[in-house]
Amino acid sequence: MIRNKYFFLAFRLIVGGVFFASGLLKVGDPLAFAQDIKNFRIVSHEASFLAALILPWIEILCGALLITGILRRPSALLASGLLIGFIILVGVTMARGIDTDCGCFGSLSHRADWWLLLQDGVLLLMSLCVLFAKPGPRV
Amino acid sequence: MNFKKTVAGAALIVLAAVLLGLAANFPLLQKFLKGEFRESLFSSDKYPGIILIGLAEAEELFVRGSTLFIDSRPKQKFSEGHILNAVSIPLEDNKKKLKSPLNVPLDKIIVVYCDGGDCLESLALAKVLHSQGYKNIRVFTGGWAEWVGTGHPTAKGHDPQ
Repeated sequence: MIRNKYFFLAFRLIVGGVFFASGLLKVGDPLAFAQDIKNFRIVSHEASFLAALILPWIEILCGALLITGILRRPSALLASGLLIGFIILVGVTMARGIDTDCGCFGSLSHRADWWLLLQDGVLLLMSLCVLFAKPGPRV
Repeated sequence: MNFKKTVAGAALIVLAAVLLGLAANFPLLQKFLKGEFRESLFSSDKYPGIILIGLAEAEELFVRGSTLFIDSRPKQKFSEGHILNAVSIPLEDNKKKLKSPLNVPLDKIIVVYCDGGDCLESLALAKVLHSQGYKNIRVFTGGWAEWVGTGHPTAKGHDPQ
């Protein structure tokens, strides 16, 4: 069990930073992000459009709250939920043999592949650590 | 951990994100509700040189003769059959990059197509071409399926280029 408070601080800043950057890179071009979502061929055209309007803002808020430590647990819960969703989405897409960009970082995105699953898995572990960390002195 | 409090906090964040997302993208949302972006998720404001066309316009441009038709499907599909006189420029590995730049003037009318239906390559390639300065790009949404299905001129074999 990780007890060092500086580990939790690092996890919080890493997950928060990734979410904040990811949201910021997508928020300026929702249509491109909607196309990225549509490319996964799981949700409808309309759902892709709506998700592209809202998801980057969830990531920005989640990221900012994790970085600042405000609403730490709710934002960690949300980040964990999103990461579980991303892992399932990428896994299903790979299993179906669809070769597409992940759309995670706007134009800087890379392919939905094993490397991405690993990255999301590590972020999920960090996020869960932040979620279940015992309350202690603020770091 | 107070689970209820945590879930309520998360719901609050989602609610704030929904409000921010809808407010920040209100003009886009209005356009969507009016029926824009139903065929394809791209903004004609952002890509003013890209126009989606149907079979009739593609046919007209084909007959005119001065239009460059680009097949954005994989090489294998191109060699199995393509629109007559089309050139093959597949988006390899979905990297959104062209292997080499086009050798035609920037104001040339270019028609890009893929399989048709919900294929994605033609619009993705159109965006790449747009970013390279081409401003007269048409995306033939019916694509290869509609062209061959309606008995229009086709050819087989590799692209000599």
